Amino acid sequence: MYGFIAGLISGFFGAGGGLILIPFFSKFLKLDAKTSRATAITIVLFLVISSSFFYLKNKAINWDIAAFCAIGGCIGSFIGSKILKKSSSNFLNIIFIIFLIYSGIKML
Amino acid sequence: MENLLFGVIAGMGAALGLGGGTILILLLNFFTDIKQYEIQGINLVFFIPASIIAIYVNYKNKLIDFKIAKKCIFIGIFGSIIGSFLASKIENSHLKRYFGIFLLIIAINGIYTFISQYKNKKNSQNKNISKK
Repeated sequence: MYGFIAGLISGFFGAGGGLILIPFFSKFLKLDAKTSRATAITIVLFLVISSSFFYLKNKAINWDIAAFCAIGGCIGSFIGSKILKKSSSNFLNIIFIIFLIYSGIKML
Repeated sequence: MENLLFGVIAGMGAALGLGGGTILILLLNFFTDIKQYEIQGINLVFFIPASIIAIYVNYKNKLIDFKIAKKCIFIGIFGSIIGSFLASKIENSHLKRYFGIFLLIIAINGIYTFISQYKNKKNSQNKNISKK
């Protein structure tokens, strides 16, 4: 059921499936934080591929911008995984929550 | 060039497990005038290579629970097809607003998790004291 909801969200918003799956894994399936994140990202990859077909069909993908973002993303995820070892996850979570509240309100 | 920078920031977010896709969508929303639906499409393309790198590292570290992953992928694909279909039918400004609501829900859940973690810590500390 959670898989279905995660899929629905990730197709609808093009993101966010992982944000649904991670708390579910850690709360109900009692997976540890790292396993939850790793499993969630694996699932989301497949969901993203399947919704990409739809966006492709609707010609909703701007390849010029997307290519740059994708290259940047690879560099960023490499740097991020290095930082992850050094920083406290509580601190990161607090910043992220503040960021979410601010931008959530701004989007309304 | 700035798109590259957005990608770097979002990629860092993704690697830290904060929801890189969400970050990219917000950055593009605030700093460009691309439509929400188109932004979501860009985000999908961004996510595939970035996540493959992360999955490869996680796979090597044996952090992925494939049993659970298989079940969720199978059911989740149905969800994502329905979700993508709905997104293509909805007006741009509405889609943006729904995304805002979704972010607030995630934030509230995050705060709730924090409070319960804090309570658990306190409880276990109290238990330790009473044992002594």
